[in-house]
Amino acid sequence: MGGQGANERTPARASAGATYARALRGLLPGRGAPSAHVPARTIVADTVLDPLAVSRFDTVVDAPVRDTVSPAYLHTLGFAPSLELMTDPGFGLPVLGMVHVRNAFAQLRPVRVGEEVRAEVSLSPLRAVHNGTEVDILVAGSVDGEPVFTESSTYLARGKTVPGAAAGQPAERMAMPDGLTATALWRLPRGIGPAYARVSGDYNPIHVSVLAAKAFGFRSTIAHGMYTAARAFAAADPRLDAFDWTVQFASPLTLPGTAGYAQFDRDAAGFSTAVFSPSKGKPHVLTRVQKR
Amino acid sequence: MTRRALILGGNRTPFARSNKEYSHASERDLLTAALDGLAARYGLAGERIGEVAGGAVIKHPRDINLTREAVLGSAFAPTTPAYDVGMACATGLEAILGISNKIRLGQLESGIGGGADSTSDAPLVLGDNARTALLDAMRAKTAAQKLKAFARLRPADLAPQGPGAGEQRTGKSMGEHQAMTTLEWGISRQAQDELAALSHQRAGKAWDEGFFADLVTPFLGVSRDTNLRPDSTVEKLGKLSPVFGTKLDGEATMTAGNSTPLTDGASAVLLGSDEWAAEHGLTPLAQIVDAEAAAVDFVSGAEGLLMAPAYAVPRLLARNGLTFADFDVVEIHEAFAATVLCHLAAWESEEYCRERLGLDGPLGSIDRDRLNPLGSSLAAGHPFAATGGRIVAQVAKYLHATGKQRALISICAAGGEGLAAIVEAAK
Repeated sequence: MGGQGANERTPARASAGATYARALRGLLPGRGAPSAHVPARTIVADTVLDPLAVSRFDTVVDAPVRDTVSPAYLHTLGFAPSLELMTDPGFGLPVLGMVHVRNAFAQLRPVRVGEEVRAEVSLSPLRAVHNGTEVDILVAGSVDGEPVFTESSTYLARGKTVPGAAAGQPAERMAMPDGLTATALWRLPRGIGPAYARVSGDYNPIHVSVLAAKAFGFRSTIAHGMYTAARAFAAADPRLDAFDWTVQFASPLTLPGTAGYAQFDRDAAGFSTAVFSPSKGKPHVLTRVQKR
Repeated sequence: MTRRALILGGNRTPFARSNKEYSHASERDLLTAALDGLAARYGLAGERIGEVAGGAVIKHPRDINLTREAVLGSAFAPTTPAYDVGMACATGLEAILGISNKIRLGQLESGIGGGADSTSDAPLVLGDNARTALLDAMRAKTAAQKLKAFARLRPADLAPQGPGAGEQRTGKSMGEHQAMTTLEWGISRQAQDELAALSHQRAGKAWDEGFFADLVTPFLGVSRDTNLRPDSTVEKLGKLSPVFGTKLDGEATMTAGNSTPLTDGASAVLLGSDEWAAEHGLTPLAQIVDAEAAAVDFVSGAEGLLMAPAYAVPRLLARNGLTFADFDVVEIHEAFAATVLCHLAAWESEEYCRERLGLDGPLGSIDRDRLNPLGSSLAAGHPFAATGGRIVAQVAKYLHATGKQRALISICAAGGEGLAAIVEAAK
């Protein structure tokens, strides 16, 4: 995987504020028409996994603080580079307003605090799907040249079509069983948005500012999808060395709010989780963890 | 033959000085890490253990089930029951003794005792003024009553209070209490600094020789106790200024160097019956033989706050027909260097032993070579509830590794309490 263009390095935690400012400018009139272009470069970010940063992250997502690093934290390593690629003038879609719809993470071996992880981040070509245009952020994680994880995060520009985008195959959908009973209730304060922003570097305004969230059509701020997924993973605490962690984001979780959590389809190969509205039974986030 | 409670192994996190590497790890995380390391070392992942006992001294109100929560997050089977124990700095030892008693009674085949403490991830609470005003407001039926309750609140009341090292009934810190006892016994600065330097040197040597390699699992980038200063000398320690007893009528001798610092960490000790050990292919290291608790009236000033073990030890020795000469190792928890030295002086004093301890003469002297041979809390640090597990695990390994026979453990605790135990090599 990876682009063919020149590699470059960036600190994994590039100033998200500056990048979002660029993203906001992308919304202003005068920007070029949507196109099927993506920057054909790979950004390489090297990060030594700082025990304090990892434990701060774990505390926010209610995960045990331990030496092995959760896939949700490893996901954050690709975030700043991906934002940089998607705010590149060569990227054919406006990044703000794009929605994280799916995430496929493969952990190849446990990663521990103190290890230096190289994240090589690139973008897939744009795909035309029935409800808009999708792009995958592709991350290859390695330690001393040994692959430790790969990830594909799919973002959708809803209702946007671009000329020249190849037609995409519909993704396999996960479904939540009917009548699933919540085994846990999560009471989520509004502060969880800014708290997760601080530990993940994802300061998307819809998670931290009520005003911004309303501007994007939400009732209030919404929880980061990856926060919800991280917490669903931590609540099950699978102790697996190598696994696939697939996440499907179904509907936003408005803050403050209460969400139900349950596991289902547990077998020797893995298990699924659902985070859902306890009143309506509609899923917010569905995940599957499968042994490799 | 009566059943034995065998010490089969132990594990702890390295102890880290507070507000450093473990700042964002909770006591639950620390205890889970200690349990996980234990499960990994003895191949017990997924195993249902008879019972786990543990605790913490500086405890969040939400952690009523701290030990059970740690078990649930650990590699042990989720069907392993657990309970919390509290006896200030003796919490860890008391947890281990409770489990060992159940094993000896036949209630348990296996168990784990331990504890965790963090003064970094500490609970902050509202002061009593704010708390009672808010509770009264909550109970109030009318708007006027509510207003009246709120009117009692002053801005200063809303400042959160952290955990104090102070005694509830005296308002004095543990260090201030010990300073009074230190002065009373005339323990010199030189003697305290010598004990502290020796503790660091011995612990440093044991670390260098790899003694702790199978007793400690690295955690969050820390692989050794961070308080350890193997190059400690009396000269270096002599340069520090006194921090306790500076307002007393006498020389202040207690410094940051001869007092234990606040530390974060956790420990766990695996215990089992002979049958359980054999079934799991585990080598018995030692066994818990007996224990005695004592308490003193420090509130009236009749006795020093940390002197309770001085009373527990002679009662324990008498019951078992033993003298100091029968022990190859004596582990006295170094809350302060002076605490250890006051105990040694007390047991050597004919007057004290006759008048306070009700003995016929002095209890005796302890050979310094046998005292804390691997260093103690001055070097390792002292995450309150984790200290008992540290001492029991290392002394059990020490007996097994050296072929020595018998060890005495003594731990002083807040509230004027003390706990002593006898550990013998498992034959």
